[in-house]
Amino acid sequence: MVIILAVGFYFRFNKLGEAPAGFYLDEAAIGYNAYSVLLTDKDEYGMKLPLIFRSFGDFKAPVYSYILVPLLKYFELNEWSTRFPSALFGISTVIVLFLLIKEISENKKSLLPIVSALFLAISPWHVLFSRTTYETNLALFFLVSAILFLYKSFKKPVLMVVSALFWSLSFLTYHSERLIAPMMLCLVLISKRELILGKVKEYRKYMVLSVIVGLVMVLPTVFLFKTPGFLSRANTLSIFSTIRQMPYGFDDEYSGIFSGLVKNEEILMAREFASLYLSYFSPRYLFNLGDYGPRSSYPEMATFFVWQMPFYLVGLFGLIKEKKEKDLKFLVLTMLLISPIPAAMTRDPYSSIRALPQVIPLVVIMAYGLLKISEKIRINALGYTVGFAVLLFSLVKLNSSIFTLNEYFRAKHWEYGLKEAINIALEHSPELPIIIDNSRGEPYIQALFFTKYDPVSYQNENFEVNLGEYYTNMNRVTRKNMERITVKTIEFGEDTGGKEQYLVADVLAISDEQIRNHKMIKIADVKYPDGSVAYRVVKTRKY
Amino acid sequence: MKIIYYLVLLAAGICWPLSFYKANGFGRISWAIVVAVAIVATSYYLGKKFDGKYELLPLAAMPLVDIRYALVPILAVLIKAVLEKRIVVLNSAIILFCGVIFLLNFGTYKNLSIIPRNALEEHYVNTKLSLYENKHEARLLNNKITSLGSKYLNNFFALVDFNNYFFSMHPREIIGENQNLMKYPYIYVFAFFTGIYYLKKSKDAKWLITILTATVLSLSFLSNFDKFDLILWIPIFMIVTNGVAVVRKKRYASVIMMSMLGLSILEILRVV
Repeated sequence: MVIILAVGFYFRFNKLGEAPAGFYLDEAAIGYNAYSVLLTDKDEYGMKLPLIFRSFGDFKAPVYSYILVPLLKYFELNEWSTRFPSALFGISTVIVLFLLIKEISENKKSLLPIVSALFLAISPWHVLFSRTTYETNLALFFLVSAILFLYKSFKKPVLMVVSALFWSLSFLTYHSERLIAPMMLCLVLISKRELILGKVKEYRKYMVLSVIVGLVMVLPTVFLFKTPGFLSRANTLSIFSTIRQMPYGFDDEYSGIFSGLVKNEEILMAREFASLYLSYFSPRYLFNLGDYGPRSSYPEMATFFVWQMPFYLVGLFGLIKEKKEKDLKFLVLTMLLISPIPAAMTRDPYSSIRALPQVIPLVVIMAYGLLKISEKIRINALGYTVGFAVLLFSLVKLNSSIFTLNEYFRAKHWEYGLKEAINIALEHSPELPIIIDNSRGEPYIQALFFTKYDPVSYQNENFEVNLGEYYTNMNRVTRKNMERITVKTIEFGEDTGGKEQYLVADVLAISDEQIRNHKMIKIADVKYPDGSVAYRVVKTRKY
Repeated sequence: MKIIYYLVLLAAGICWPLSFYKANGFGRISWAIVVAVAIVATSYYLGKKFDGKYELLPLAAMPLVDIRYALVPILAVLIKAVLEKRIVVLNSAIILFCGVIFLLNFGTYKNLSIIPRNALEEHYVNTKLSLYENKHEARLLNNKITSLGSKYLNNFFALVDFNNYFFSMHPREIIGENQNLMKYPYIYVFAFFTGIYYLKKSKDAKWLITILTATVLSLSFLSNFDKFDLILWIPIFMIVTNGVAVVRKKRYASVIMMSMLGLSILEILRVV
């Protein structure tokens, strides 16, 4: 187990602040809001301890930022410290999974807990989300801990309260868990109903306490579910919403006598949901394609290694037929079936970020499959050598994908270069105004993060909505002011002539031709690792 | 009930040939593919009639129909040999015959397969090689085997993906040159899983495993298997049939079958 943790630790903590190169705007938003709360008790908009963070109007789950607040007391605000909780909870999930499988396995001598922990420690899927500031990874830790303490509480009821705390945290930490956590909790309780009903007197006190803990933590957020902010996000993503997009396969031109049926939205939605849901079980996505999103996968890496596919098939079939390990079978199969539901309700094909909880049942199934095969086939020294070589090759490949290929091919998607460009502009002259172009994205948050801009000044200089409408008003103000830095869309003419100032933008916003035409001075081009220009810093002339 | 059962099967079977015809018409390639499908059907018929004795014999004609199918009979013979732990003289002759045709046409096959590298792939590999400080690591991770393996696996996983057969690949997934044909009404995916689960009990299990594995493994060698995968129509249809037969014996079978029929009619209407 020590070796497994060491390997898991290496993949999660090595070059944590530098790889992925760049720092995505969501990461910066989580980090800066935590910094703002630390110094002022308020978020960037001046809202005191918000239940969910307004951020870019996407209303981020709050737990990650709040966990970061005490850490920022001891660590400087930077990429490493912001990603640190994710890595820490990532490696902790490996330990908690080990304890969970040990707890629910009938065969206490089985190697299942250790092999499951190994598969999770080296899973490209889990490693990726442990190295980046994504709430989903924390939510997964809370979910697995909640299940572990729930099973433990059947022997030691006081742990029910701890379990309730973790269920609630899981619910509050990421959107997917708002559906997965309650469903899992209900189903585990139903499966253990005889045990619970048989010991009602013993459990009653702790059950009441657990319910109180859960409600106190969860209810305030539940009341926000009907706010326009929350609904707007749901409408954008959900396949069951036709506000922005019709269901897949909707043929507007079809006009037969059965058009009412052929164009029936509910049938098409059911079809789309079934397709999306099944893709989370498809070997093609699990072992070959992975997630299409450049920030949700590593180059040439799927969610698992291809050699794990036979273990998946054997494990799945074996677990369905399993007779002795009732708790294990129930938990793994239930989690396997429930975890992709929230992800399948959104339009993106195979969203590994939303379906992350599925990594747990899948690694257990593959570990189970491996052990089943090793029971059937006697493995000799050659077999062990080949197995070790394959594992080693996979680890080398994962290492190369994270620290070499991802840095080169995906730097753009992690918004590499903005930090360097802002620093160049700031260092070049201590007085001149700087305009950062925001035609694409929300660079103001990265500017706030990288400059560690004083939150009080920022809150005073900017206004978006009255705090009474913090959760309801969807109005967005795109111009942001930070003393001499202004974040806005660059207007040629207005911003490029008349006075001296620096402009920071990508090549789409400021081309070479525009530099010539507007007589600007190119200060620097910040390049991606592949040599193409990421951002450029130019100086306008006074005339 | 019997009529509904047959209608359910008919609805399952008609979709893929219909969408294939709509997309491709009856050109030379289409005819070759149809003949290959007929060969698979003959193989099944002979297997039934002579208790598996001559079932692989018709497959020997496949390389003559189209060279892309050259590896199907060879792999089928090898798989059957593994399953039965022996190889008969007739099957050895099939390997020999198809092997010779394959070797004689290897140049053509090679151009249609995953072996040639285009300029873009070449550039990608060279870029990757330049990124590593350790040249041994670079070569270990980026060589001809890994490059071919990666292309082969892309095809293999697409061919074993159930979304490919029941949902025309995937909603909003853009597949370069793939026609994304509607192959089976999506509701039959459940019959398919049931059929797979109970495959062991099916009398045709051995033939199905042999043909499916040989076809999938050989089509994965092609640079573009699209259209040519129609030869999987019969084996997959048989698995679906196997599943429907199991469902037929369950409670509420009539309700399930009626729903299947209703939804598949809608799917067929989309094709038409």
